[in-house]
Amino acid sequence: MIERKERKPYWRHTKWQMLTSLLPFLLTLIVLPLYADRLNGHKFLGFPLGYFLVCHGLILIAVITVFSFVNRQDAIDHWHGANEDL
Amino acid sequence: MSARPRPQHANPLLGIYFGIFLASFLAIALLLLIFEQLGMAEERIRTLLTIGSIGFYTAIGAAVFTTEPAQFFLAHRRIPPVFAGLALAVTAIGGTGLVAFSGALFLAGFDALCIPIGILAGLVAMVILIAPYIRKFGAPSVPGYLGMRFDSLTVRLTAASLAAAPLILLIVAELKVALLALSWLVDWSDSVAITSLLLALIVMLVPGGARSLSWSSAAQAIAALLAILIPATIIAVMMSNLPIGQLSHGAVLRQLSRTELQQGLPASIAAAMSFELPKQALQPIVGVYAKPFSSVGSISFVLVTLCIMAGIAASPGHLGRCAVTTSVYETRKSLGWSVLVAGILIMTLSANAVFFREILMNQLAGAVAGNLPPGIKMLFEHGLAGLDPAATKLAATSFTFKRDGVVIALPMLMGFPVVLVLLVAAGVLAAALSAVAASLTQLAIIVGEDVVIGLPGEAPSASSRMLAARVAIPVVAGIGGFGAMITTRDPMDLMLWSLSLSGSALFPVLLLSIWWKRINSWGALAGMAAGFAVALTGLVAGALGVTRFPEELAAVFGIPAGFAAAICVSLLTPAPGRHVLEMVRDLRVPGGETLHDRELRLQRQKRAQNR
Repeated sequence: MIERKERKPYWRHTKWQMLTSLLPFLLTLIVLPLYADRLNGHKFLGFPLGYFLVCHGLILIAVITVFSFVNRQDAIDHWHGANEDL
Repeated sequence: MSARPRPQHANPLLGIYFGIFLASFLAIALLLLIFEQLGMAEERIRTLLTIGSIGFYTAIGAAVFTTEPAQFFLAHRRIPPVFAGLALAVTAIGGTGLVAFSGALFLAGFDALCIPIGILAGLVAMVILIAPYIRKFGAPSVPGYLGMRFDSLTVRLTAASLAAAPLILLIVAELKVALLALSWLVDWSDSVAITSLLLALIVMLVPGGARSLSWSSAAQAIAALLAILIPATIIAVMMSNLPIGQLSHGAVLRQLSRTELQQGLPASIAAAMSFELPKQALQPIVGVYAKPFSSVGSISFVLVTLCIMAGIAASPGHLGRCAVTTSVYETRKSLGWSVLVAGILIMTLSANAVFFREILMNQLAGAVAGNLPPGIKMLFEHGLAGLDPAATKLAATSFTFKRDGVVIALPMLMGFPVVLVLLVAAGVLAAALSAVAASLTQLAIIVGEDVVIGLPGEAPSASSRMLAARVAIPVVAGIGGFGAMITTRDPMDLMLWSLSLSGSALFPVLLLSIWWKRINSWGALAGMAAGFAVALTGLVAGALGVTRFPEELAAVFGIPAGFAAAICVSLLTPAPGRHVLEMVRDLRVPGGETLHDRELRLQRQKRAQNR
């Protein structure tokens, strides 16, 4: 069980983790489609680059974001003693 | 009673059970393929596949009958992350997604990606911002969480009534798609088809509630995934010599882009705020596949993605599933699985659209009007495609296609055996049933947990709440079935409306309830009401043609209105009390007792002391 004095540092750490996970993903989600047409002039694995980045790239980024978030947040939980006792 | 949480462990034999289901599913599909080649009547194969698959899901749901409230409302919090994630991914995309996105990707190309990418982003936002905290709270429904978090029955009842609208819209949309899939499988009249579907759903969900939903949805998700991935893999091998069409359709797309330019497909640029994705009626291919923004403007693309993201992240039907996993960590893991599965599905649908266009272009090369290739003739016979009477020459733009038929038109065009085509239809039916069941169960839980508790008088017993939820399932199913029969609206529109409403009414308040301690019950009420009202106004105005602003973007105003109202009203009214602040502090920490259970335990102790 988490100690009372650990609650604030835990939540600060959690907030930073949330921001570092979510903001790069959101930025990519917003910016990539806007430049897709220009990027389509280049090719990658036979795909027009803009299409590849929006279809495959965003999915890859989403998977990496979630899996790294799950691992990092679990490490934060253990570091501050906030994890579940199962 | 101990204050420590009791560990909930998943059944270790589940992998074996679902392994048996997977093997049986494949064996039945292979057997039907053999029977088809041996000359078994097609009608019999169709009936066997339809009744067999619906009967199987119904039997799974009915077999996990329970009289325990913890099982009925929360599946005893014993669902392993893989199964929960799998079911969540298929439910989030749903039957509507499978048919509408496949068709929209084929007809509009790149532009149609805004919706599936929005769903994926919604799952990411859900795992980072909301779901683990809802699981820590432990309430079986979103209104239940909000009511206890703000310590207010008014918030609970308001959230329950506002959450009902998007859930019912989703039920109607998915039932319409289920009816469409059933019409591909068997030749039943609409009234027989809807009655059979509703009966199956009632028998599936009434015995076990959330428990029945979890296990039947896991089976439906496996069936839907197999039904989409098996034909897609065969097509990928035929087209690119590799079984991973999701990653190997680049060369095909390069060839397709050249052919599209030769055939003179339009490559226009839409206005930044326009949103004109293909509808249900027969219509021609909109433009070059990989060329962005020919039917959806650049700004609209981003805004729709963000609105859908908020709608999925706050969808009561999807969040309800987060309460049934074994722990907070497992909830995060389950969403990780759902992002992975949804990503694979999106890439598969996109690859299929490219393959379909390429096959069509190849078959049309050298074809003459009086002598069309047999594959295309078959699409005409099934009403899935048509020839534009005004067309002067045979080209891709001379043909029109039904958006929702594309998903089964591709295996037909490839000349696959009937069983494989029917398998795709059965997969769509499974995904639609899974999505209907999720919304139906969540609405029943809202009735049993939130509406009944919110009524005046003594709080009812657990068994009466369970009875209310059991009665609510057929009632809500009936309303949804009636809606599906009378409405002529496009299921994709209904799904987007549902996401606009849930995103506007619930996303701001859910987010603030976790990440901003200062929000109080007045702010929550104002945020929900303002978000819902603004989004509803936008939807109605757009649908009636009062404004030229696309109705799909109603949440662009609804979400900021929800945030603004919640923040302003909270700051203008007294800060929340000590009890609520303590609850928020506990909510933010994964360890310790589940707050919903603790509140119920304290209420029981209080009642015992009063006696």
